[in-house]
Amino acid sequence: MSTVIQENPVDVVCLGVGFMSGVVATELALAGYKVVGITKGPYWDYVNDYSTTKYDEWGVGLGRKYDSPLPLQSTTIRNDTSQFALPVRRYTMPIQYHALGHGVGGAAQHYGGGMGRFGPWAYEMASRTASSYGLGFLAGINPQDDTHDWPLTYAEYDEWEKAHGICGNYNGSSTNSSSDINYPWMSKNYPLPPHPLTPLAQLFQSTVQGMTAPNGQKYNPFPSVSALSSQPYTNQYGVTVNPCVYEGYCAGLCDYACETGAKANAAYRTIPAAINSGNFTLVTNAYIFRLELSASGNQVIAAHYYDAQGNDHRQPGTVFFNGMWGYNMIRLMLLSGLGTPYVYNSGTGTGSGTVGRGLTNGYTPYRGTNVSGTVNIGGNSYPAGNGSGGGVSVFDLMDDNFSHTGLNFIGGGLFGAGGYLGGGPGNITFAGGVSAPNTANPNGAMGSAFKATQQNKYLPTKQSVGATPFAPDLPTFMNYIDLDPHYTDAYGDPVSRLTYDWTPNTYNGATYLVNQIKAILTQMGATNVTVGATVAPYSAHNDWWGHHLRGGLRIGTDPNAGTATAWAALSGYNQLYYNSNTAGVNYFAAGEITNTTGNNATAGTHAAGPQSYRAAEGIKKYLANVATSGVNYLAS
Amino acid sequence: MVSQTRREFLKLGLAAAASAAAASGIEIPLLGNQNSNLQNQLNSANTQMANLKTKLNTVTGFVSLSINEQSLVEAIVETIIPSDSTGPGAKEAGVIYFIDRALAGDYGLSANMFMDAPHNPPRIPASAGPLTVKPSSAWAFLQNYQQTAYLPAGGMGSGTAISYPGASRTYSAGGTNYTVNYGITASPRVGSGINLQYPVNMREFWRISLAALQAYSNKYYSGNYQTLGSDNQLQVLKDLWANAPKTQTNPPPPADDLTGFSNILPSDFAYELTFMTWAGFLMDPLYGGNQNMVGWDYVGFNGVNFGNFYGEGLDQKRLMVDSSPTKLRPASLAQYQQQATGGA
Amino acid sequence: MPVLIVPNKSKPLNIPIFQSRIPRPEELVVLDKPLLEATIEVGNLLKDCQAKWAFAGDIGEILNGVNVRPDHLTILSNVVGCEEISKKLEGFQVEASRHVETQIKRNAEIEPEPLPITIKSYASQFNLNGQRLNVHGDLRIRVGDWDWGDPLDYEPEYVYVVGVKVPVVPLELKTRLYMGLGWMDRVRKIHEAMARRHHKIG
Repeated sequence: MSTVIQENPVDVVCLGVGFMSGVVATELALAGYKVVGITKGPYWDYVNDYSTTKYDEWGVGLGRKYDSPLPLQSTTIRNDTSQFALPVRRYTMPIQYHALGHGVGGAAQHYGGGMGRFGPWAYEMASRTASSYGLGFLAGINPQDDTHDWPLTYAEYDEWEKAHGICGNYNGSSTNSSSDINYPWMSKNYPLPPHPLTPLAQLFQSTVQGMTAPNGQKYNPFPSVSALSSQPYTNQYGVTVNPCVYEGYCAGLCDYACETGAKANAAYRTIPAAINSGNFTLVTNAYIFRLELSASGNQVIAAHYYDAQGNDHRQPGTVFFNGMWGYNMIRLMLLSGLGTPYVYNSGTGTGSGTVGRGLTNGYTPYRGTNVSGTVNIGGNSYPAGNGSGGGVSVFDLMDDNFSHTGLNFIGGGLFGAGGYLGGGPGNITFAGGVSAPNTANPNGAMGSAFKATQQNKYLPTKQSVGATPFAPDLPTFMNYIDLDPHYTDAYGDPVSRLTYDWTPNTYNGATYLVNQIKAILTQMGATNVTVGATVAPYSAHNDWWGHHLRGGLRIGTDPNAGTATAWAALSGYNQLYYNSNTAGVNYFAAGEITNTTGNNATAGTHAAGPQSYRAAEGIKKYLANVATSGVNYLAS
Repeated sequence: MVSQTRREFLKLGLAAAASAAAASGIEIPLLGNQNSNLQNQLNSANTQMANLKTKLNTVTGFVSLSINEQSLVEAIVETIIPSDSTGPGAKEAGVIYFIDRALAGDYGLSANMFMDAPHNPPRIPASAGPLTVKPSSAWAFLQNYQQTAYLPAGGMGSGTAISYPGASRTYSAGGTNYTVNYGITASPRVGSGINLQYPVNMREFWRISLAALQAYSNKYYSGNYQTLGSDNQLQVLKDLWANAPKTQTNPPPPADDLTGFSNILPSDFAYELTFMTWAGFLMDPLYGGNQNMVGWDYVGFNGVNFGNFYGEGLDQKRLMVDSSPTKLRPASLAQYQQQATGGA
Repeated sequence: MPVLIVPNKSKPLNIPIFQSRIPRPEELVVLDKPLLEATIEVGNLLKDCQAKWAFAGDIGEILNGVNVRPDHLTILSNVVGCEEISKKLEGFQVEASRHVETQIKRNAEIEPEPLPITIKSYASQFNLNGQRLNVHGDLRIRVGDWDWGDPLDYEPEYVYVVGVKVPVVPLELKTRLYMGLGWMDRVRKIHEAMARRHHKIG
């Protein structure tokens, strides 16, 4: 027998308290609504929890003492439906690096702090490719293609950037005046100025300014965009932000948690304003396990969570916002019977349903075609003090900024150089793992010869520059999220299962882009510029399952292809669409970015972040309608 | 105590200000202004306290490794990171103590690992027959939602096993055929979180594997690992990386004895040995290794010295934009904690 | 450390729970919206000010992360600066600039007994959408019947407020002032703010 503890009904229930919920909770609390935020982890007090214990790569980087415990919930992974999906049994790099967040601030308690903006092309990938290169182009380069457009604009970026103190070109002080002409959305003012550039970044910048990009114009370099505040800052919610002190074991492998609050995170940017308003209640160490639906099946009426003593709490609300991490968000919906689960038919190479559809990945495949060279610029590789500043990027090799006629891929990649060096001392153990004996190192990572390569490794007198470039990983019917039939979380519910492998677009883009980058490296005066062996699609499989996965609940205007509407409400949940298999009129989700572009913009940041403002707007409209129309959505 | 004879408080000397603060038990705040006189005084005071009070405790003694394991692991880690002409190695760094303490703690207990059954190894070749596994009963609730999509063929009631056949698949796009050969499970790079699909915790994994390594050394190199010459010691480890104990042909292993590695893949253990040895060389001394920070000194890492721990007057923000390196004397987490709490 | 208890599980799990305390509103440093907007407006209007000026008082501190709750804005400048500010904030002025000498509410809390504090400055007042702004030029302080101090001088530090860069009076000067006046509670607040900024435990 178990009793259910009834909580007081509120206007908005936020599931998870990360970037997305931070925005929604704050916007709605400041608008006068009663909001509850539920997270399975604690409230991290960065001064006391991090300040003296964070500089501990073993405990933090591998032991993951600030991370979501794997015995609580893991996930299973496989490349293809023919495989048995194996559970991730421990945290290591590469395979399972950071993903699920834990506690207030969520997954952004451990990210590098890189930021940016998508270009307009990214939002209309399908239609723009069709109009530039013909209707069949996408299907021709992407097996079982499932690419669609998004209905988003740039208006939401402004609020997002102001709230989180994003650093970039400030007051239009771009490094190249023509960037304002070609890419106004990239060089428009950011709320804070960029971090100081490194000598390598300056070399890269001056080199590309004199070079012609594939589109016939000069390259347009701009300082890499950072979510680490460069100055003391106060955002539009009145929350004050410390500037980065560049001392923080930030980059590399120390779990990236920031002990001064300089790294943008809901815990230091939005949630304080929500708490201050008096309209927001935070529930920590609370594990959400179900959404309860109305008898008619078309409303979410309550969220259920377990507290740390195992009691079941029922939290009713008028609107529910799902701000949980990507595949965990999908998992909750599947467990609750919300929406139509996506099912893949390997025989026909298509799928039906929408929840879990369109899993993509936004990070370089380690074994794509690469290019590198050596420059005689040394530096200090030991400071692990700022994970996202110091570098310069160019946008010219991205999106449709060069003609793809006759090519076998779309999009491109964001290329840059000169970011701050440094990552914890265990780079060789944690970054990519220790190598087996191979041609380059016949004894692998053992013995005197290898040991000597590590001497003064953090005091380099030259650097390797280059990239494994990355064209967008396109949505395909083959890659998706569902529930695993064999493994459960600590409470006995199935974990999520990720079925994913890189789409050919990523590899084909890499093979082409390395030549552009090679030209830049040569012009920079790099020696030993080498293009690696071509890596063909499917010859190397995805081996990085973590923080840059996206997708599963697409935002779109076609209810058959995407589950969420333009307001990030679940299709069938408002008056515009109705689908008899869906439920929960009042349910909003973070609206996953399914389409990726050529940078590692992650679900919790670039496009999904601004999307949360759209969701907040939609929720306000919804609640206003409830108030005026008097419909009682709490009735079961 | 502010002197009564002082008539103009704004001409306070630094000493008076400091004594006023001290009288109230307030530490002079860090003002973040590197040129501040107050700031320099504070840095100097902190440095003196850190140097006076810091003791770098070094760890000795064993809490987890058995007598047999101790000398074996000692020989192994010294093979992986030898003391040589370039500098100290695993011996000086106390790597064996790092490993011992790790095996005794959360690492050994697999405390933050997902240990549920079923345990299937990651490398089943595509040539093997289909793998069949019954779904867990956790799926039963899905029937309530009529989500037949998830129910295996035959339905939940039959408990029908799901078959994973492995595949070779061809996709075409743009006139190109891409053929993928999938084994039954993913085949990840070494060092992944899905390599360790064993039903034993890390302590057991090491216990079984160390014994098996010793048995292999005796069988194919005619003696305990500790007694072998350094060339053979390195070769034994390379054999593990190559999974030789499973494939040795001269003489071939008996059908029922794979030198005791049982279902453990020798290369998984080779990875763990190498990985933990380097971790023992480079992690904070609090964990027993990197003693006296010799590992950090060797690779040129700073620990928690951000430029001014010992009064060097350097600033990490500036160090990050230098084009030539500056070596800092490393500081450890324990030293940092002592300094941060004012030497308490 | 307490462990997680899961219902219907015969064996307890060994998943640690981090006890955490959710901060109370008064522990958080949040600037009220009307004052925030007034700050931004003033910052924009005084962007091209030639004379030296900076946000002072509690607003100057909260913009640097100190946990205070200002209810009005304060600017510290010199006499020349006051004239320039009056011009740039023309429509908002409610009190013309004039020399003012006044005793402030709080006394200097020093041994052997508290003493009154008098300030004098070239002062003016403004009202921006209901938010009060006091501007002081050449502010001088006198404790009890001691000599008058020199006009407060400083090199401004800069902070950003939703993309506008504004000058503030350095916290070091405020610290010296508070220590001299014996206001150790204010010293402590600055100390705590800097501890948060420099990741030292407090």
